[in-house]
Amino acid sequence: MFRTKGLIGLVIFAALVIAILLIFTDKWLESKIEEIGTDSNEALVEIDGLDFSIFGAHLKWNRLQVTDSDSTMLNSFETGKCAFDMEFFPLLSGKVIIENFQISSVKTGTKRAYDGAVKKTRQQNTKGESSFISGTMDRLNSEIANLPQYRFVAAVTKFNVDSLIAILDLRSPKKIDSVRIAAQEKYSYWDKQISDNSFENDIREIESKVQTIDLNTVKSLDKIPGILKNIQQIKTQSDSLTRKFESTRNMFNNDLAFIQSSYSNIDEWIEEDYQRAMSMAKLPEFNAQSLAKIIFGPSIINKVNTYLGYVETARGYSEEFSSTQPKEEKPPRFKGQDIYFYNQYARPDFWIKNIELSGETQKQVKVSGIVKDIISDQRFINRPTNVKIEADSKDGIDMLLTAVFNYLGEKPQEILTLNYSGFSLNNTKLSDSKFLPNNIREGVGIIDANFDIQGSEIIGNIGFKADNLKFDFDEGMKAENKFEEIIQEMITDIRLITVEATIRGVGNDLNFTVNSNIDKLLSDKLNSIIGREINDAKQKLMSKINAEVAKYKEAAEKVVREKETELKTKVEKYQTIVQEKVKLVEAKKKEVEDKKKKIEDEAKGNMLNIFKKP
Amino acid sequence: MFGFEILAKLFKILRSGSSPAQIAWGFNFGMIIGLTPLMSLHNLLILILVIIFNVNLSVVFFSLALFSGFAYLLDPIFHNFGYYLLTAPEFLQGFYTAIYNIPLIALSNFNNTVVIGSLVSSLLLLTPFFFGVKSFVVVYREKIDPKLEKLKIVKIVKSSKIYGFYEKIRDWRD
Repeated sequence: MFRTKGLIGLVIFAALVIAILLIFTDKWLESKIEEIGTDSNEALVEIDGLDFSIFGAHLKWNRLQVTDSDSTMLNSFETGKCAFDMEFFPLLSGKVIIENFQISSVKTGTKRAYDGAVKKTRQQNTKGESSFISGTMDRLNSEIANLPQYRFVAAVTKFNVDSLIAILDLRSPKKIDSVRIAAQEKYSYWDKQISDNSFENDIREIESKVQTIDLNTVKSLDKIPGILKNIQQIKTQSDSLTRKFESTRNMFNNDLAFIQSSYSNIDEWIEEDYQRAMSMAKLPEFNAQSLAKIIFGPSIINKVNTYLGYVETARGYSEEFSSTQPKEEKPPRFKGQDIYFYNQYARPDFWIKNIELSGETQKQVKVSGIVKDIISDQRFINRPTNVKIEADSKDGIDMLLTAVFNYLGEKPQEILTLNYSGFSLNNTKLSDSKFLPNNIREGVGIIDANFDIQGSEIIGNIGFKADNLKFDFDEGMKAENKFEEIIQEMITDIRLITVEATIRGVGNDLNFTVNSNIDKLLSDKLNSIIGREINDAKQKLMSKINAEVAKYKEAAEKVVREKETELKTKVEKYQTIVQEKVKLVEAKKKEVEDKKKKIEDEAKGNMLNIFKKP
Repeated sequence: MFGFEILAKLFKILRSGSSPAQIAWGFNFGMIIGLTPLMSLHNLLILILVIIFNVNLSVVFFSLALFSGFAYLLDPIFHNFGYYLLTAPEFLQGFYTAIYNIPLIALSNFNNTVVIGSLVSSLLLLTPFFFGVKSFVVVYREKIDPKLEKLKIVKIVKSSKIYGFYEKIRDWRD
């Protein structure tokens, strides 16, 4: 049943494996750490001279280089020789626990011998609370992307009204023309209606009927009732004519009112075309707030997003380890998803209890710091992760960075404060914006920043002060246009620049504001000069639209002017005639009644005379 | 030529002196290694078993090659099954938490969805595959093989120059 040769082979195989492990563990571990580090840094992480002793649970290396992912020919930092001990028994459970990790000879911003760029493969964490961080980063980026930047200068100088009108396809002429056609149709209709001889016929008929009644021939009362009946019929006919005419006149007036109201929209349509043209022309409005964002926004957002990136990574790991019901992922084939099981009495998977770092930057600034409790799950120790880094130099540089990453509560919380003062601004640029293009020859900077992120709420304040400023105008800084001339003229006298930025956000609501002492100065200057040009451009645009629309408007108004008056005159004429005929009928009626009375009176007199005679 | 060699080797194994149980165990061990991620602690254990016990090694490698292909296709199912096993059964959570903190067992990477999903799947297939393969070997040796030997095509192949050439190489290699 047993394979004797196999057993011997197995022993030899095991011995070989141990020997290989002893020889190659260092290389394997080195490449594994480099791979994981590079993946999370998104730029090369390299370790030289790694030495691992499994029995002593001891690890050391000669040099560690971490490439700056934004500038891959530089290292974010590098270390000299480092060593630390791990607890042995937890290693058998795949747990790494480091008591004290001393990182010495830390140098920042060192040059690399070759490019440390790698193809970015890391996926953004889009789960839970950390998706708020990536969402905030996206929203901050879009704030900057939507700023008008430098385009207003090009917008004003390259502004071409004719080409804009050609692209615009004005809508008001078509609308005006359709109103004119509709009005013409209405007028034609009414022209026909009014010219129709139905009124004339009625009037003539009434007139002739009235004229046929000759009262001179009436001598006796017996003819009077017949005449009165006839008069009554004529009156009924004239009343009917009056009603018919009034109804027609009302309809005519309604149509006139409708045409008038259509015409009253013309100015509104022209204004709409103008507004569309303005939005296509993208002529910017200046205000201090948008200028501050344009000048300082991108560099602030860039730095804030770097910090938020660290927070997102920390939250991602915290969520992975603290979730009792982890969300199912879609891992690559054969990779699977690791499910973590928390036991408060066990040891954490990863824990560096204490990191002490010390070193010097390229500019002889001494850096020292302590990082406490980098741990896979803070519930094991019931303490948050704390970071404190200090720096100072003989030149007056003073820096204190503190950070607390607290994942113990219901909501994750990160608090960061940075006080950095006395750093040199010599040969630097405050902004990549064209509004502040010059290098600083001399200057000293101060930064005060604090961030508090709790769950899906962020509160951040960044204060920056650049003092004793002198700008550089020597190298190739000759003003090429009026705009640059204004900027250079203005910043010549600036000695102090202060910037206050605030970020407030809850969930998807984000408010990012930037204020600076040069905002007002710049906006006033720009508004007075460039603003004038923008106003000219607006005027030009308005005139062009008015000219394009004028012929249509004039044609439409002409129709109204001519036809409306003509038709109104006709209607008034008929109104007068109808009223005259009504009066004529009334007069005839009265005449008949008078005649009747006269005959009756005469008859009464004759009768009395008969009775008086003996 | 390679496919032909594998097929010939399979037939040779089926007709070899190894017992049906040895072949069945070899097939199952190969299946476990093939279906689960290769660099796992349990595979080291299987490898030791394969070396210590007198199982048919050729079958182990044949089965490993065969099931490695299946493993690629079945990986998403193993992941889903593993995720279910690690998260859904409430009564197992205490057990998982306990073994997660036991030295060496924690190194088995059992808390990975693909590892546990594929391992449990292959363990579930172990019994039916063992008896299935064992019965197949018995049936093959008693009934199918004699019939195959009598087939014209087999006779033609065996009498061909290519087969003769193959036999020479095989003998030379052996």
